[in-house]
Amino acid sequence: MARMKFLCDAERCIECNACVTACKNEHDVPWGINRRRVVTINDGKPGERSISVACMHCSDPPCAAVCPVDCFTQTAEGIVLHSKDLCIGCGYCFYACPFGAPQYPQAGNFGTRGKMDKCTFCAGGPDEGRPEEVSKGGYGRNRIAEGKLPLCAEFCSTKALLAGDGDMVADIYRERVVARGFGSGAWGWGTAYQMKAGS
Amino acid sequence: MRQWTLAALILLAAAAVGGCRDEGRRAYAFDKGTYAGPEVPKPPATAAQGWRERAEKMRF
Amino acid sequence: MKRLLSVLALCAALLLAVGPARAQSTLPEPGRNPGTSAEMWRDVRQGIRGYVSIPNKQAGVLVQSEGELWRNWRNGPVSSWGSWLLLGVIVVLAIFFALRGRIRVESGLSGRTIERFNALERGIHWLTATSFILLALTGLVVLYGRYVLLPVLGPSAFAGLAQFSKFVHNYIGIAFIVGLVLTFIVWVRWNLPDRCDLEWLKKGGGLFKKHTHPPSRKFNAGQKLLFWSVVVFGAALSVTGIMLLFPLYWADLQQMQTAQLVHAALALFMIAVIIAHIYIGTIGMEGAFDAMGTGRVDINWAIEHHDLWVEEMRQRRAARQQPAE
Ligand code: HEM
Repeated sequence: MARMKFLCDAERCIECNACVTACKNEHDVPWGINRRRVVTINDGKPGERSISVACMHCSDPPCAAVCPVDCFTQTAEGIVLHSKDLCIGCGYCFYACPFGAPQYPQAGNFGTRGKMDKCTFCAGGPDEGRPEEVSKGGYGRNRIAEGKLPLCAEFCSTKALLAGDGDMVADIYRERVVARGFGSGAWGWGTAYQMKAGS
Repeated sequence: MRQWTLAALILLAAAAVGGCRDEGRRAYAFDKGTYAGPEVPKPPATAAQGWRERAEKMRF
Repeated sequence: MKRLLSVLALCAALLLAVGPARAQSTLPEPGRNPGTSAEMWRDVRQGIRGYVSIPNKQAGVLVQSEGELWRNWRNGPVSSWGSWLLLGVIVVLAIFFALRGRIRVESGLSGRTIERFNALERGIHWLTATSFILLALTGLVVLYGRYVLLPVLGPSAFAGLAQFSKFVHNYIGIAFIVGLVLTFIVWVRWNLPDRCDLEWLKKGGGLFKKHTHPPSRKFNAGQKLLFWSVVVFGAALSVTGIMLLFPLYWADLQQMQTAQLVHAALALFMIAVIIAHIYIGTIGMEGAFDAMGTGRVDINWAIEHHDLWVEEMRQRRAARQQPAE
C-alpha cells in the first residue's frame, strides 16, 4: 500500500514556479489561493536555495486535531483531505499548520472568510459530486484515481519536486545524495512525518 | 427543591469526572478525530501501477 | 494594544534586520561541503522568511512552529481547564444553593416598590445579556461541539449547526460591543469604588451568613467587580474577536494565534462569572429579578441590600418636591 509523500530537493529547485502554475491551471485555483508556492531563502545571495512547498500530508495532521467540525480525514494512501461541505471557515487549521497549507479563500463573509482550501495531492475531494474547479467551490481534478501523481511533481523539469509512495521517493532521494557525495536532510520530513532525518 | 439539587449535583459530578478525564486524555496528543464527512472514494486497484511508473520517471 | 503591536512589529523588524547578517555566516567555505548548510535548515526550521513571488509575503515562511504551541494550548489547557471551570462553577453554585438555599427578603415583601432600573437601563442590560448568551452558546459549539454534540447530532446536522453558530457569533458580536459601550456609559458613575466596598467584601457581602447586610449604594462591591470584569474582559473579548473576524488584516498569524487563545480563555472565564451572576439574579435571591424584569423592586428588598441608595433616592425626591411646594 502506497503512503503518498512530497519531497523537494533543495539542491535542484531552480525557482521556475512551474509547479505553482501547473497546480493553478490544473485545478482552476482562484486568485488569492496558492496551494503550492516556491520559497527562496537567501535570495540573491551566495547559498541561495529554493523550496517548493504545499500541504505535506502529515502523518498526524495538526489541522485535523483542531478542526471544530472534524472535517479532515486521511485516505488509505495518507493523503489529507478536508470536506468543504462540513468546513465552517473558522481558520483554525491555518493557525495550526506548520506549512501554511490551508488557506482562506478571498470570498465569504466580511470579504475574507469562507470555506478553506488546501492541496489535495491531486486526489480530488473526500466526497464525489463536486464541480472540479476550485474557483467554483470544488476540489480540483482527481489524478490519483487515474493512476497519476500530482501534476506539480510530474511537471517539474529538474525533478526537484518528488511525489509518490514515500519509500520510492526516499529511495530516489537517497540515490541522489549518494551520487552527489553530500546530502541534506529531506526537507520538512521531520515536521510532517516525525522522521529524525531532516528538519 | 434542595434534594433535587443534591441529586442533580451528584449526577453532574459523575458526568464531569467522565467528561474531563476524556479532555485530559486528548490534551497534548494529536487528535486525528473521527472524521465526520462522507466516505472517501477509493482509487481503483489499478492506479497503484500508474503511481509506481510515474514515480520511477522522477529518478534521473 | 496599539503600543503592544508596535513593539511586536519592532521586534519583528529587528529580527528581519539580523536575518541576512546571520545568513552571511552560513556561506560555504572553499573546499567544504557545497550542499545546503545545516545552518540554513536550522533557520528554516526556526521560521525565517524567504522570498516568494506571490503577493502574500507571509507565505515566505516555510515552517511556523508557533502553530504547534497554539494547538497545544487550545486543545490542551484552554479547553480542558475551561471545561473544569464551567462545571466547577455549576457545582459550587449547586452546593451553595443546597446549603444556603434561596436568600430571602428577611423583613418580608411589603408590596410597595421603588424604581431601580429605568427602561433605558433595562434595555441596555438585555441587549448586552442576550447577545452575550448567544455569543457564549455559539462559541461553546465551536470549542466543544466536536466532542459533545457531533456524536449526538451526526456530521451533517452538526456541521449545519456549527456553520449557523459561526454566522450568529460573527454578527451578534457587533450587538454585544454596542451593548458593552452603552453599559459602560450609563453605569460607570455608580461603579466607582467607595468606602463601603471594603466593608462589603470583608463581610462576604452577607452572602454566607443570615441577618448580615453590609451597607451599599446603588451597586455593592460584588456588583462593581462584575461591572468592571464585564467592561474590561468584554472589551478584550471584543478586540480579540474583531482581530479574528478579519484574518491577517489587523494582525499577523502569530498575533492571531495569541488573540484566539486570549479570546477563548477570557470567554470561558466570563461565562463562568456570568453563570454565577445569572444564579444570584434569579433562583439565588428572592426579589432580585424584578430589578431587571419590571424595573421596580420591593422596598424591603431595597433597604436590605442597598440601604444607602434608598436613602439617596428619598433625599432626592424630597429635594425635588421642595421647590414645587
Ligand atoms: C464581541 C465581539 C466578539 C467577536 C467579534 C467574536 C468573534 C469570534 C471569532 C471570529 C471566533 C472564531 C470562530 C469563528 O469564526 O466563529 C470566536 C470564537 C469564540 N468566541 Fe467569540 N467573539 C466575540 C465575543 C465573544 C463573547 C462575548 C464570548 C463569550 C461569552 C465569545 C466566545 C467565544 C468562544 C468560546 C469561541 C471559540 C474559541 C475556540 O474555539 O477555541 N466570543 N469569536
